[in-house]
Amino acid sequence: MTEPIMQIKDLKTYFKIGKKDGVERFVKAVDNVTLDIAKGEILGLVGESGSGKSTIAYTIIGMYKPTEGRILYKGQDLYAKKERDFAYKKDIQIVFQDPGSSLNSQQTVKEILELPLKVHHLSAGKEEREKRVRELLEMVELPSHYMYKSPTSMGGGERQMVAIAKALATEPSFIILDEPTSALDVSIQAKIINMLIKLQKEKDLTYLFITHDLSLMRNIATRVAILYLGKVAEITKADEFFTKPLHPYTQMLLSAIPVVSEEEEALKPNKVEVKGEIPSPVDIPPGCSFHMRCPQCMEVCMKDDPLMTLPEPHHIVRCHLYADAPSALATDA
Amino acid sequence: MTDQLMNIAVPVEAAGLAPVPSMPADADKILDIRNLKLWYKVYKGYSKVLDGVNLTVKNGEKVGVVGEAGCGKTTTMKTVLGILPEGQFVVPEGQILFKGKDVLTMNSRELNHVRTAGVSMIYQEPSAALNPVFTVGQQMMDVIRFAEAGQGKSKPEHKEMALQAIREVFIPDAERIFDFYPNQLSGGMKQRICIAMAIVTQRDLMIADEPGTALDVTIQDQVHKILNGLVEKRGMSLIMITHSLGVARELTDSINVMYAGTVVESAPTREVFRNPLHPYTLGLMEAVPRLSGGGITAGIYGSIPNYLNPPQGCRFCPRCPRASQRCHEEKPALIDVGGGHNVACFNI
Amino acid sequence: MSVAGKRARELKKALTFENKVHMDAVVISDRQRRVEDLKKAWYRFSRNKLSVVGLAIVILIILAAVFAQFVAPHPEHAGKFVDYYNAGVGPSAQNICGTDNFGRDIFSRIIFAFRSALYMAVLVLVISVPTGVLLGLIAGYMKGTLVDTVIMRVTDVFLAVPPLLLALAIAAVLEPNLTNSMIAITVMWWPWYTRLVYGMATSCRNEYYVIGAGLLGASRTHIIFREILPNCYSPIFTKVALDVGWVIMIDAALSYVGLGAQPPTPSLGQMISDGARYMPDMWWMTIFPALAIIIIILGFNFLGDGIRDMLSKGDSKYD
Repeated sequence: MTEPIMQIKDLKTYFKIGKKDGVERFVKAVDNVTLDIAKGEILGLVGESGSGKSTIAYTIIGMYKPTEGRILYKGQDLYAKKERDFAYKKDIQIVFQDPGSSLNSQQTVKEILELPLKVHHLSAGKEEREKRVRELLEMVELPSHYMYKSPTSMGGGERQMVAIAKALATEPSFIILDEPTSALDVSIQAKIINMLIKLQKEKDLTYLFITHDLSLMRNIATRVAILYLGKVAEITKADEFFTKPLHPYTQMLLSAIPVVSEEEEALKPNKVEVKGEIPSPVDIPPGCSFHMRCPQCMEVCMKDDPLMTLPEPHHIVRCHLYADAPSALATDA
Repeated sequence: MTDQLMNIAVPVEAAGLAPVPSMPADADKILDIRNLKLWYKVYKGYSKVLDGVNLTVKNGEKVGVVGEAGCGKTTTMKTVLGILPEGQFVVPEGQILFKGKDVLTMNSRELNHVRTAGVSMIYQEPSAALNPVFTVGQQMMDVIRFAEAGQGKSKPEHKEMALQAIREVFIPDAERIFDFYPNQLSGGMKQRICIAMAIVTQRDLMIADEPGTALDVTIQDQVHKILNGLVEKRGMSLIMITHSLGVARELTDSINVMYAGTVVESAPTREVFRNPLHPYTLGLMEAVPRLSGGGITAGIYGSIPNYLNPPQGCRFCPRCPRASQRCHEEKPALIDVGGGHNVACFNI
Repeated sequence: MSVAGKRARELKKALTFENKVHMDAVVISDRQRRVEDLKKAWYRFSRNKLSVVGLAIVILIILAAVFAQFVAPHPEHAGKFVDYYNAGVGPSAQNICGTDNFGRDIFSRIIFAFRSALYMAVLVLVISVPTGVLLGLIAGYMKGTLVDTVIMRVTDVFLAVPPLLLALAIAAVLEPNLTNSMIAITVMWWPWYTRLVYGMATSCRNEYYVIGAGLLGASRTHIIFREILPNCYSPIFTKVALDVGWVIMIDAALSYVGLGAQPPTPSLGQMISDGARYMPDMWWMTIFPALAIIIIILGFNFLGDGIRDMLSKGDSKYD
């Protein structure tokens, strides 16, 4: 594979939550994650709450500092210097989940979209800025008079489109989309996803797409990575992920999705009885963090943490069931 | 018997409307919403949100209400319970018959009976439905205390009822959870506590407003199973509000599809998925991402109408690929196409 | 009117409502947007009738104070003036509120007293509000740093002293006059705003739009004044409106004990103090100034309620 645009190496993001019995306790939100993202692909990040998918996104964008590990963007370490390079703030953008709080309800859309232009000096003067704002609104298929509206007078879907326009304003190469349509209805979701795919093709963008909706992921991602309690469980190409899931957690998740047709029912793996709930990321069980809920738990699972292996080409799994396969450390899919 | 009459609906003659022929209440139906219209009072006039909702729930039936945000599903349910903010809305027409009696014309005593012994509601956000400064047990005791089933019983009996309900939602160690505060519980457990609060006293109808939306897929699965089991075991009827067709398919006996304040299609679940007839239902089905891949369709053209000045005829008309002249002018009523399948469209 | 009758009337009104607004009209410029905003703000304000009453009272008082020369029937009574012939006369056609022991028309003095009260309130707030708000914003945005600690602990110290006592102490140490009592009140007023804004700023800074602005690379100045501050307007302006009433009351308390505006400049508190001696015979000397205080404070309170309604984002989904 050509040089990936984003490389996450052994990333650990821990949050301190005070001492108990004299020992410092941490929330291990991201616990040793290694991922690569190729230019122009859409990597899907799937996981339930507490899996660390949002934390990875926020660490990439600069909200949290990694406790350990590196993130390389176009070959350069993002956290090399104390204050992130301005250029990265322009090139990597994020679209948040909740359109209600990601836009300032006291500003008009014009002010919201002008901010990135002003901060990065992308337009020379008031008229040009206004023109660019109109262009941005056109890109997301919103009428230009929306410039003068405030976010409160728009529905969730339109607000999210403004958020996407804001992310596009600085002409980035890499966009993180943190559950952009989770709060939206299915028909608006369809519009936005189509728009995102169109924009990606037009501008050759790379997406890190986070969602918990597996059916959606099937139709948008080129590769999918599934996380559990801060660790990667499986990474592979999208169609393989859904047709040949290897990790028991993946199988459990896939069997629990509600679908709308008989043919889809047939595609789901056999119904795995959903046991228990995801444990708290503070007290992670020893051994494999999934062993308490795993229907195929073995002796070794309760003691040792499995390593990432490559049972099939381009298909990484972290599970004792495939411990005999070659290690995945040398190459990343 | 001189209770203050809380008339929300006005005798039709007083409002100058033509009288609606009154139909006999069906003993089989526990809830029968007939042609309900509701307008909110807002800045520029009136927001005509509900435009003739027709919904029926039979005894013991599980009914799904599917629709996008802003289509009026929550408003309809809130009107059934009578919990809309006073003075900010008008009901020009319609009846809500709960066990044969019109909720809109009930006095406060009868309405109280409906709220404490007739209907219970579970909300979308369990963390918002539970008061963070009281323990779970205290909140459940409050529910029991004010319900009719709790009258004349002692406190230990109330507590036993509460513990029983907590056990029924498969929460082990009910005694310990009884003294927990909501923030000590996970999202799934909070939602299960909300369900327990809803079933702790026997109710006839449960309204679940998107109960699994705030939860993970696996937990959502568990919550839905619990809901299903309880409803069947206790012989309750269920109204399941959701915007996910997949969830409705798994949990309901019949589905009502709502758009912009009207029910546009109503049929047994299997029928809706096998043979969707209304253009909106078809659009929704197509827009759902499929596990089989194949990309996502373009969605439905247009957006929900402006309720301040909604279209004169069918409200879906501006977005409908089959719109005809008649659709612009006349509002389609629900037509029975056989097998319990009703569609509100002229061009099927 | 019975409940049912009222509802029938509401229903008729709803059914016959003509939608006058042309639905296709959209806002196409910044200026139009501002006009629309004002119209909507007025709608929200005027929904509560009392707020409109408050606004009317406040406007009347302000006009009276500004044009005191022309509004007061005997403007010269507000200065050095004695007329023992007419001293102690009760309310009459010539003197609506009667005259005091020096023969001065109380009504005219009240109007001039409004002037000094409002002057005092405006100056106090113009200085203390921006100071307090600025400190609160900075401390809130830099929460957890030394800057935050320093600002908030200083604020705490000022808040710990009973406000009236602080004002009295300062005014007593300095020479008793209007300027000095203004300084005293200003000094003890700003911490309340700091505290108010601090709370709002700390919660705002965790909102995604603020975080997003920071991630984008926006300067701290921008974030504080363009992202956080606009979300604080509602409580700030509501408090300002209510505070006018409070400042006037504290000023009355100060001038009751002789600090504040010195005679012969009239001030409400002093008028009450002077008249206390003559109660209950010349009751008008005390009662009318007291009523004036009540009215002005009520007016600003109602206005404050209206401002709160106006600025709080309610159901603006229906734009």
